[in-house]
Amino acid sequence: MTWDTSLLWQFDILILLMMVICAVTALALEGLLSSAIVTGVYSFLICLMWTHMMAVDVAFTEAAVGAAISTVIFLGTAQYINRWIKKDRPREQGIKQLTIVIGVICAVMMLTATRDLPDWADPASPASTHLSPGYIAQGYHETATPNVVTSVLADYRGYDTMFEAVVVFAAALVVMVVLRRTSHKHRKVLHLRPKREGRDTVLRGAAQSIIPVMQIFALYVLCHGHYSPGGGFQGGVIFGASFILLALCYNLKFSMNRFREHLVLWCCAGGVLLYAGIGAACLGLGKNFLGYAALADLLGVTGKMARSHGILAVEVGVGITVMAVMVSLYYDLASGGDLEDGL
Amino acid sequence: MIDHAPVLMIVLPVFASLVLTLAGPLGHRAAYGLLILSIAGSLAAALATLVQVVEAGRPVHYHMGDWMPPMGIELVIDHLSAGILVMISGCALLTAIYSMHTARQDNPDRLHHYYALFALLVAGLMGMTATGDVFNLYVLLEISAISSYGLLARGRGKAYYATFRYLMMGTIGASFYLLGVGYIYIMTGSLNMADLSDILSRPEFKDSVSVRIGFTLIILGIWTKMALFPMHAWMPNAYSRAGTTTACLIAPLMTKVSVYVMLRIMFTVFSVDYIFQQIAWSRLVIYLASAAAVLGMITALSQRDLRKMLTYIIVAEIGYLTGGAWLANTAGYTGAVYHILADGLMTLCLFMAVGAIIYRTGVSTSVAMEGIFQRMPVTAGVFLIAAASVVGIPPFCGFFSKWYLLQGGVEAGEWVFVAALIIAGLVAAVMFFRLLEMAFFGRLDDAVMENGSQNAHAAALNIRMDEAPLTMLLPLVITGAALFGLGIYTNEVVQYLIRWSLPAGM
Repeated sequence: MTWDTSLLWQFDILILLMMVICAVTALALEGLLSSAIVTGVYSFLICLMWTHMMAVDVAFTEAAVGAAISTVIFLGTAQYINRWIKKDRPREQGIKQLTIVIGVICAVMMLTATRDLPDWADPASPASTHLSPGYIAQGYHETATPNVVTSVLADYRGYDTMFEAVVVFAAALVVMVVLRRTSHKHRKVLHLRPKREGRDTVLRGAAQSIIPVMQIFALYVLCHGHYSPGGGFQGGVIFGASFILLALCYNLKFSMNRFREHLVLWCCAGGVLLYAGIGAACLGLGKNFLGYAALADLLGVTGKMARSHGILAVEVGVGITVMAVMVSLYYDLASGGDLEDGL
Repeated sequence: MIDHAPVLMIVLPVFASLVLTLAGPLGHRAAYGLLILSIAGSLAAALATLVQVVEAGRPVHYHMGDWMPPMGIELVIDHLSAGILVMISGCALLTAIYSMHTARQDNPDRLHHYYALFALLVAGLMGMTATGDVFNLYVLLEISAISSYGLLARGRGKAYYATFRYLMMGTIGASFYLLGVGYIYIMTGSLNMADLSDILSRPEFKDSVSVRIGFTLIILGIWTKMALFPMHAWMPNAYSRAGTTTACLIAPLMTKVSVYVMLRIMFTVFSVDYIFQQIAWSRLVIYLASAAAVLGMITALSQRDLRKMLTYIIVAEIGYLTGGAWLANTAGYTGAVYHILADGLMTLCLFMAVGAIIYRTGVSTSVAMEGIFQRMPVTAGVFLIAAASVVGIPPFCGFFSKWYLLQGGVEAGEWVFVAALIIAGLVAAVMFFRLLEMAFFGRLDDAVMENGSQNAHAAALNIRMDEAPLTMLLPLVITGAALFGLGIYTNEVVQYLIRWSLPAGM
């Protein structure tokens, strides 16, 4: 496919327009639940945009994280928050107007900058001429990984990816530290949460047939990251989503009995520990941190195959952490932190 | 092993944090020991790197995963970052030792998770300072930000609300930084700082609107993060409601590291030429900085809560630092870099002293200072040193940074900035004199009777001298000595570190 036949600019304009409408609607809506859903729609649209730009890996992540999991987590949280925002006081109105003015100034500033940006999908732009050709030309020969995105993500820039996994881990830790703190007797919100008695035969039947397939698909996505869009982040999110689906279709307790809080915590830290541990092992074997080529002797393969295996191992680490963090976030937010009951 | 020191100082706290997360069953002593051990390792690695940099006279490079930059990510530790890395790990180690009693008091539950976030924050700050890659900087910025949200939210009273505001402002700041990096990447195709600097010095980028707007976005993002006036509104409540250990860790380090990032972006990624010739904002920035210095100090003077007062002092100090960096001369730059080190120590010292006083008296308003010289002579003595340093009395380090900044202001002919520095110094003198007067001559009994806090009441009845525990006192005294030592060795610091890091063309 060449870029000029595949890109329909009318399509882009349409999506862009719809994205703007979604963004404004999400701000203007009064209900938090509906706002969360509109944000999800926004994510789906941007996901289409990425696909259209042939950034399929990014689109995949956006679909899994932005459109699916974030929306569910928002929904799980919104049940505790006053659903209808109170009418603004005059002072807050003033601040709102100020925000709009600042927003407009920033938008104008950023739009001005587009004047001398390279054209859309221009093959001669610096982003496609400076470093990318190097990655594309050498990526396969140096890392034995056909998917360039994976080799850049997990090897050339593996240090960034390790810390991205740490960011995800930190998010779960912070939510845990903040929510699982106050004594539950003093909480006002807990009686607001919906009670799930659970006689939803259709939902349960659907969950029973979907969840195993979902989990196998997640493992496929995780392992097939070397050859196709996918990898630890996407696979982990899908795997985590299967437990959240279980909680949604049955109830929180049911899901927690299968994936206990204690194990979730171990997985959150364990995934990152695996990633950083491989980095440290490379350091111990005489190469630099995360220089997977050091594993060659240990695994009995060539340097570039060692890099390929190293990428797989760290992707598994990322997958474990992301999966556990998604579940942990949902457990905490949906139950208000007491892990007793929830959506 | 010495070759790997640059990465060890970052990943040791990461490992500690992961282990601490799971270390609940081992008890709080093990958690405390593990935290101290990892940060001490980090400090040792930072010191080793500093020695290496100074001896070799050139930056140390570390290639992650054995990939050559700009394809891979590299850590670059030069004379500027080496000093700041030692400052960060040193301050963190002192705070970690200090935390023995206060952290347990502030975190009756989940102390090990608190310590895990503590270690993550240190890793984030170290990583931001050591990296040579603008996107990697963003990732570590997120780590330090997220862990600081968690730490601050465990504060007292309405800490949740204050932290939520900080979270919003912090996220906006980080997004601006990321957007700016995006623009720069579209125009150059690179993320490595040295490579970017090569590309951006080409003539075709001199007048590029996109590059200019990319720079603007990055700088606005960093200013939000470092709480430059008028974007400081999130800071006072967030910091003053934090737990004692949290405040000691975050207040000296977060904003200073942001200032370091500003210097990096200004002088390593962009150039002196670009900042002061192509972008003609330095006048405006210096006015902002002067306003920050004067208004910050005056607001500090009007506070009753001790820690809120200290937080407003940070607002003023950020003004000094920003002004120094934008003066565009050697003295200003020297002053700014020196003041990053000096102010980190001063802020740490003040927050530790106040933390110790609050720990013993249970009162957090200025009333807690009454008669403190009789009750806690060592703490009060160190507080006096820190106060003298903030006001700018020789031989403490605060004097020398102010001296350089004033010299820079006079050389550049920025009289507004010079006046602001002098006024802010005088206001600080008035403020600390008021406090020290209470500390020397205040009648303890009156204070206790008026503010019938039970803790203070018991203290007054039973014990005359009631010094803080040794784990708090020791780091406090070391910090006080460091203020003195940094002042004495000003020449050496300037000669061996700051001179070497002067950007080309200044």
